[in-house]
Amino acid sequence: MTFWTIAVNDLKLTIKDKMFFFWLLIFPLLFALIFGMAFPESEGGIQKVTLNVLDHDKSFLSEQLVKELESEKYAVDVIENEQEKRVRTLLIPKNFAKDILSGTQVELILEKEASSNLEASQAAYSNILKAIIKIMSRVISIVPHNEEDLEARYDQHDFERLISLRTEIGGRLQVIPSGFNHSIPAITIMFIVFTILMYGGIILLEERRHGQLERTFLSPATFATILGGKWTSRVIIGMIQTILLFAVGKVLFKIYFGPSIISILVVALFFCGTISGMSIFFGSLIKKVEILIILNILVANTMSALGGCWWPLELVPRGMRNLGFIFPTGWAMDAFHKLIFFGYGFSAILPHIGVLFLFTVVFLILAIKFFKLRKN
Amino acid sequence: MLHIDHLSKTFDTIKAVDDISFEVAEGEIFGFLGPNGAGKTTTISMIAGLLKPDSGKIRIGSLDLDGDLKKIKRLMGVVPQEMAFYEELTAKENLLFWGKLQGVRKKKLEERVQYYLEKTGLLGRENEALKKYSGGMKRRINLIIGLIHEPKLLLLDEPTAGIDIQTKLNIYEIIKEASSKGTTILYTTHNLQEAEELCHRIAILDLGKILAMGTLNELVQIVGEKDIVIVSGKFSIDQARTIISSFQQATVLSIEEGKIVFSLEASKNISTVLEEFFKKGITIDDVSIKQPNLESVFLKLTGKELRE
Amino acid sequence: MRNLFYLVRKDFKRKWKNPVVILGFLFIPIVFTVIFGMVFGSGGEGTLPQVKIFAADNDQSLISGLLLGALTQGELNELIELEAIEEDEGRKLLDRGKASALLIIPENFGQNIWDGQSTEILLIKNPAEQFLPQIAEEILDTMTLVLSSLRHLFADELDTVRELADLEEFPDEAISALSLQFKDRIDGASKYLFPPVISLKQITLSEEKKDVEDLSVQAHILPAMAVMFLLFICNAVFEDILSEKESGTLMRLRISPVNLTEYIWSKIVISTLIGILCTSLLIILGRVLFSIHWGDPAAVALLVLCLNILIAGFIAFLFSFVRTERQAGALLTTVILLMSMLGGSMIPVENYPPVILIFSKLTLNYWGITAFKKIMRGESLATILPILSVMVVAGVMLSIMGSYFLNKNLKKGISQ
Repeated sequence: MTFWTIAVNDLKLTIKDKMFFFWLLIFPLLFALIFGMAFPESEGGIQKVTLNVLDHDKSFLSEQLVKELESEKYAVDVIENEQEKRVRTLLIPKNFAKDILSGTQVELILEKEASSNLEASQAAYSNILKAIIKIMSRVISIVPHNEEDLEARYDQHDFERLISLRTEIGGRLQVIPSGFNHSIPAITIMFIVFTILMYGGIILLEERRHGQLERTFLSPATFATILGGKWTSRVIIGMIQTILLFAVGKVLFKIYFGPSIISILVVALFFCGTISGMSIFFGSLIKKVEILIILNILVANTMSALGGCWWPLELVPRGMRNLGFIFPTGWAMDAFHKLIFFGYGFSAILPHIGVLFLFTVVFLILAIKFFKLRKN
Repeated sequence: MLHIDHLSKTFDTIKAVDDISFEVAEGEIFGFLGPNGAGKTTTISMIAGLLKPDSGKIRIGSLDLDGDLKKIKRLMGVVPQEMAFYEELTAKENLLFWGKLQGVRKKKLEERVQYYLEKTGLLGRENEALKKYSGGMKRRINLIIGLIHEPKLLLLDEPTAGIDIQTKLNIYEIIKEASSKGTTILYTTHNLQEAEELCHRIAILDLGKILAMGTLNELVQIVGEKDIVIVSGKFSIDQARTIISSFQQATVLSIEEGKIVFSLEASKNISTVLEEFFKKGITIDDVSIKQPNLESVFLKLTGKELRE
Repeated sequence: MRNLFYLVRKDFKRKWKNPVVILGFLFIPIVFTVIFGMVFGSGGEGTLPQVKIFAADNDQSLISGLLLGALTQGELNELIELEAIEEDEGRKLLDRGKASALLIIPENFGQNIWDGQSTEILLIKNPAEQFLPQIAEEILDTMTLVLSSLRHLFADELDTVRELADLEEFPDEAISALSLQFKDRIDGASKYLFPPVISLKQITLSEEKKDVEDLSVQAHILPAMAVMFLLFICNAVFEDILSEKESGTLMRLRISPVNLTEYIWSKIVISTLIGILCTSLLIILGRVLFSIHWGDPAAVALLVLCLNILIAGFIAFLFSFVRTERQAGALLTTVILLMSMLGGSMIPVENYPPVILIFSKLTLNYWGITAFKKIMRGESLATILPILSVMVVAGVMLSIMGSYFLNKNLKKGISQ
């Protein structure tokens, strides 16, 4: 089994590098952790949004406003002085109630620290807006003469919310995806690209530089066997990384992988195949390690960014989202979405697998075309 | 010019240089001959100030290496085994750079660059990046860098390793010229012909020790009028020792399974010796006889052959 | 000093003749800035794409029409792309991820409101999206609240209208009474509504001077990426030490009258110079390609100098711990990537929770990016002077420490 010998040898060469384990597991997990924290889940397990209220008015109406703010999503804390302000604080000015009743304009201020989470601040803003609507609809329906009048009649004009909004999650699963459920597959795709391109390409370059490649070709092994062995070793590296990251994701972050983990692994396998082909192509095309590294950084990041691994593609203009499908990353991410979030079965990802296979064939053809045994 | 006094250096448990002493006169080319691991490069590194000796003294002229390293650096040129220059830069840029670091004045430096480029046949290609040069051309530049400031002492560490004969001759010529101008040269090599051709005096080193030292003639005297005979065949150590010991004119130098090296007073006796082997039914694969020269001296001293 | 000059000039020539690596690292921030610009447009960073909502109106009443109409009015029209659709088709398309959410208005929605009975609308969210469905939910929740509030406000009047509607003909007195009732109600409400008596303003503390949103996407990205890749460029310059060690030129230099300290400082100086050149080039390209307003040229120039002194010192310090190219690759890549990730070169630090921000502030990326942004926002030189001073002091101290340890390290390395 010459084929297998070559694959194992390339695997050994990769594993011998101490940095390999960093790229394989440590870096991706660090990225996942920080990405997960930077784009936290919008529902589900998120911690409560901190909202402090500094009420300078302490009137009946201001108390009602605070009451309306309280819900299970918000940790509302009424503070007594400026020193206690932290993260984000709603400032209710003096004469809040008096001015409202007299029709004088009142400005509520939501102060947030520069370091506060943008999503949470937006949610807090929206919550305050709704609380304002609620108290004002009572005020408007009462048209009180003064504060006492308002307090006396407030409860009679109980605000009944006739129209409500019910939400459901689409797809077959009805699963609420968490931040990590989004970030782990994305990070896995991104790091498969990094790891395979870097190690796959550099090993080929080094072998050519030191003459081992030529020596391998002098053995009775055929070109197909050698290329196949090299390609297989890279696919194995990618699959080890996928399985490790998914396993850690499952254990640490309780990630849900949809009904068909096998389908997920099939997508990963075809994706690793594509990137392995690409790494052999780059390793054949480029002569210098430094240039290869720069090319890899450029290609890996561009593919990851446009393919939807860096940020949720929904945040990208619609036209740009389709641009992601130029790259294998776009197809792999879309297949993951279909399997994990929508709960589709294997048949839904057949087109994706087909496209990834085509990518692989193209890269391998290019690799063969540019393959060089010697440095010069 | 160069005085080495009881120099020693140990790495962990290995004695790389073991109590060596020698002197090299001004303008003399002194050969340092020995196989890989004999301690040549370690000695050169200590003389160049790169390594601190465990014990012993090194003096260059009246200067002591311990206290006058800065002054000594200006007097000394080194040509290492590696192609130690900047490949991205042109030959001229390299030579100017290294010359300036040695404090050679601009005008003088440019004259020397021109001179040496011409001398090495590289004139006309001085503005090409060194990465485009062939191996032989690179070797020549490597040598000139060491000579560009016309040092009083030049340390050459196998400067002709792996090059064509033409370049080799060119390098010999430059070295001889430097010597004739008064530069003292310490030349390490494991090439016997090179040592024979170039060096005024030679020290033979093995395992960190100087085994013998002198002019070529003096060294050959060590072997005397004896030939060195190497016999290979299918015999045991005891068998071979018994046969050779039975001849008064022969002395065993080294012996191993299937191979024996011995000195023999007159080569005409060799047939008698071989007959003894045949009588015992031993098959002989190969016999070689070395006339008295540096190689046979080396064989006699170390029992080892010295190959490039 | 003379030797230092020769060494720096030699390295400059070498990099000039073989600039591929440096240019490559310089090219990457530009490419990323182009990509980010393409993806997020050139507006502020907070700009979101339109939220696409499919709307299946099974009611087809006046009220459901009003609700959908309200979703495409004013500012909401820019935020939401509403597409009317049949429910079945909408569900199918949502399953294929063609919108962020599907709004389903049930039959009798209008009638229920009219009758004062509670009713609900359904929003099905795209499970593969994190943010846009959330925005759709917030907007619709607020809309239904406003609608409920209006229903509550005009409850009496609507009841009257309902009663009237049941009659065969409308008595004139009743209609005039109703109009008066409406008028009173609107008069009472207008005191609070036109203009709204309560307004809500958001303020970001410590950035009161100008808000974050005023910088273009490119102005956010380019400095962030620049700092990260300047670190890589400086690393590439310092890697020369290891390749010189391998090729023997370092040994040859040690035999020459150059001393190791001069040699190490030549590397610190050349990497500072190359860093300054690269940063300047990026600044010019940023101005020409992306119309980035970098701010006060004097302040920018000073920052470029101080930042590069710091980067060179930092890399020199890191290099004092490594002996081989492999070790350098492992240590330097790890440190640079971690710092870039934490310090805001990859994700804006505004997104980080306070606990990560503590670590962010320990990175030079953070301070470099912060200083660039401060200058862009027009802050005076005096306000960034403390940052710049710290950069220089830290840079020089790290250089001195780096030089000392590297000296020791190299002495050992060469003699082995």
